[in-house]
Amino acid sequence: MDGPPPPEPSSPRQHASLGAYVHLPFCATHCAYCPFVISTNMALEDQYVDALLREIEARQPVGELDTLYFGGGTPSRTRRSAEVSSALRGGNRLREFTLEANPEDIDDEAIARWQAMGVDRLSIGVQSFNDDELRQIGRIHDANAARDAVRRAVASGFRTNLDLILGLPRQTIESFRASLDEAIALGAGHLSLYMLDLDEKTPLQVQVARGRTTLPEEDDVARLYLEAVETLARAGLEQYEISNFARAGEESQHNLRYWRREPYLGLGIGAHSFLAERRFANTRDIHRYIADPVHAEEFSEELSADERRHELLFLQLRQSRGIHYEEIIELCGQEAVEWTDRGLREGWLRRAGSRVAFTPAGFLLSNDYISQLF
Amino acid sequence: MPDPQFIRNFSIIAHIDHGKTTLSDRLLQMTGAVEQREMHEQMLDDMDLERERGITIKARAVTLQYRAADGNLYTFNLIDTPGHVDFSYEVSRSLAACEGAILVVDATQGVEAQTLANSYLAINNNLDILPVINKVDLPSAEPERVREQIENVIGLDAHDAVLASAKAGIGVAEILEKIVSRIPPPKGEKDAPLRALLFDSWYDSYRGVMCLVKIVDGEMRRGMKVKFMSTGREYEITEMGIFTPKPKAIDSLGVGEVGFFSANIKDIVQAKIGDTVTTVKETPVPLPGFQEVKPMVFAGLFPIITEEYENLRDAVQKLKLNDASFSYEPENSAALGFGFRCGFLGLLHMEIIQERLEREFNLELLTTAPGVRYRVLTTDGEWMDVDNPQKLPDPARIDRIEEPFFEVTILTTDEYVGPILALAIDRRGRQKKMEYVAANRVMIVYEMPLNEVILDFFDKLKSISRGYASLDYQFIGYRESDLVKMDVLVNGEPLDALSLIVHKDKAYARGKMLVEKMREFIPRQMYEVALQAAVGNRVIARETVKALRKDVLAKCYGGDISRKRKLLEKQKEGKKRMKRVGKVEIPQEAFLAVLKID
Repeated sequence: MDGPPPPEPSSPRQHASLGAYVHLPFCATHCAYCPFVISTNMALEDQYVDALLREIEARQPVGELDTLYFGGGTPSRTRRSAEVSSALRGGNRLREFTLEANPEDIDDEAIARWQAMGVDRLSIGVQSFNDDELRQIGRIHDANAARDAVRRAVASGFRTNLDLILGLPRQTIESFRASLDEAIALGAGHLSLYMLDLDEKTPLQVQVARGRTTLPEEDDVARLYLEAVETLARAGLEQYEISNFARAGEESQHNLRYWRREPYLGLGIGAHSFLAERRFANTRDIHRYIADPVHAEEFSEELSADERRHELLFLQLRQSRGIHYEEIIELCGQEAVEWTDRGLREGWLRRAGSRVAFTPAGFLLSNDYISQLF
Repeated sequence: MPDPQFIRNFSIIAHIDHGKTTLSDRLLQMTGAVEQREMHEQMLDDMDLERERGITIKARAVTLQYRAADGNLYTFNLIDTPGHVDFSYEVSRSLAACEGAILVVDATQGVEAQTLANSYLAINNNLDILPVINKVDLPSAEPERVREQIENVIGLDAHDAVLASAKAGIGVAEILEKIVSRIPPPKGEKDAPLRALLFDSWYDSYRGVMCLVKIVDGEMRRGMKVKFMSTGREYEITEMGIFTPKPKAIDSLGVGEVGFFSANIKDIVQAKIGDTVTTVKETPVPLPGFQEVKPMVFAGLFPIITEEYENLRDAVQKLKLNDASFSYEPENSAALGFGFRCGFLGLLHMEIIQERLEREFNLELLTTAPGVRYRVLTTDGEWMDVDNPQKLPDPARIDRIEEPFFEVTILTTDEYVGPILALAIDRRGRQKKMEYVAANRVMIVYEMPLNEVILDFFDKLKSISRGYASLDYQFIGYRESDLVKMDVLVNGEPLDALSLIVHKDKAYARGKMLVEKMREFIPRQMYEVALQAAVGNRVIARETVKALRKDVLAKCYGGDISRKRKLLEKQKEGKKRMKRVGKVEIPQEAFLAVLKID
């Protein structure tokens, strides 16, 4: 023996099928509500992409990769994204290749470039079709640009997702309904409806804390969420996760990996991976990453039995198909029997065949209700 | 065995922070009981909790040897006393074991309520008092003013008070000499039947109950059979010793001596403080002053996690071994499950027990608001004691209710008199006395129901007087009052553990404030929570905690599952500190809301 081998970055080779997430952190401006790892220093872009290519080479995820997701930041602004994708996929056929795009970046030239890369799904950060609300949160696009972008994406044959946010500053019951109706009318096959999550230290959180701007009433937001679930279902967009709605077959295959605890590799700053029951993530510090992308891991945890149990619970329960009744009993014992009975009786849960799942009202309080089982 | 004429038994009495502990340490050091290098601050307080709170909970006695200027070797027994009013009976028994006391008064603070109370206890026990004005080296010291206060307020001759600084070592040599010259030796009959005053006891897991005694008459020897006069129980002494301060085994104790013994006593209740220990053959007149100690303040203790009941039971049993004044009996609350109704000497005692249970036994506890023991005369002409509001009979069966009253003595500078009187009146106080005891210093004496005193009266007094008022209180007896039981209902169900007994005239205001305060403490949850205060069937106040409609639906950013899982785990942790009552989760603070109302 030559002694222990030097530590290697985790390689996903042993897995049958794999997803990859690539973080492209560059943005033109920092939106007021955004807590993600982003950078507005475009001068770093070249060095960052070089670093990404080195990380990809070190991890060699080629072979079984079948879903790819470029998230950000604003991947639609990254000029060298094609280099990254070809380094990753080689000649692989993918089930799905999603790219997050901002409306102002979606033009004919960009569409052609993405199609040549093999992108087949665009996720568009529309957020709202109301100019006043868009200005409040610091988006650069306006409602017209958003409409135009979604139309182009759909017409070009992309599977298209549209992000909307519920609970924005200045949003009213009417303005949200109008945004939702427009989203449906534009014909996208997928919609992500997020409730505004005021993260600490975002500019918007500071503004709200100082009373400079006000948010809609919590009860109104809850009511609009329940209403949206119904409206979207009537339009053929069925809820399949707390915040996600799709026409049949349009579900995000990559995101489903997260909730099904299937393996995925995260590349780039702040990106999270899940391989062989280990969760780990890269540094959020772009300079550190550029300096040594191969040893940029900053967080790692082997899951304990309890933690694995917690994940199985909340990741399945956040999906509309829920969890097998037998499985939840196996995971939590008698407590789960009472938990389920109470949930069914009070309307937080519903039965779907042999499974138990949240109702829309249950989804709204699912943090509270799920954590009772922890 | 030392000749009693060379023995001096004394205590140090002082208001909190006036320097009692520092002076004790200094005496130990100057008599060589503790080497300089072993000296660490506060030798005598040996429980962690005591050290942290700066108060002495259990009495201890240390035997010191002092070679006086007259050339003779003297035995000093320094008997430490608990410094808090909750333990005033224990203090009085410790003082009864002494012939003298050193009264320490802070030269910058002057006479405070505890100085006064402890001085009176010492005077009542016929002790000779040696006044010491401490901290004279501080720039703000006013020894002459304090000397006058001692004379005018307490009525002691203070012309030869020692001016000292225990910290700096000033005046300590003089104090040692004055102990010899001013404090009388113990008087007792060497040949009379044994009479030993039991003034402290504690539980040792190897030896059983340990008793600390002062021999008043006769002699106590190892191997001797002794009898505890209050119970008639007999034991054989297995071990005897003195504290130097390290325990040192000895074979006998004679007149005037102080030491400990063990005798295979299993239960601390058998070693009652103030009891007289004698031989099995004789039955002399018991020493005066013995009382059964009775808890005055009662509260329910429940495990937050129901499964921890067994652990709590073991813990209270263990604590009881070491604390005869603490009582407990099982309590079954419909809302909170199984727990214990516990009795304490006072609020401080309650806090100490609660903290020890949580710290030493690693329990998470829910404590209900403290109450007192009422005497109820039923229409059948029968008297009953009620220390749990739930056990109050139906109003139709009550002829009258009596509640414990205390005489509360407050010393304050005159600028705070107005607000203090207003507070005392608000707490149903009746003024007995108010007088200037020195320039700017006013003594206010009120009679007040204990029930009102234990509802944060100290905290209120402290805040309205900016900490300048000091307080002492003592039990004076039971008196009839117009009292009713007030229930708190959560979603229409009475939460039994929150029931209170209140004066009829105060029920409405207190009920209204109570549910308002509770609403602040109860977080919004999955269901609407209705809070009501009711007397009988009449609802007197109502508040609603609106239902939570959504909690945040954070998305799993780019596959960051760990963050989301930790958020949920944290949410669960938060719930663990709450008690689930039916469907409603109630944090500990809500159960104590009654203590937080203004």
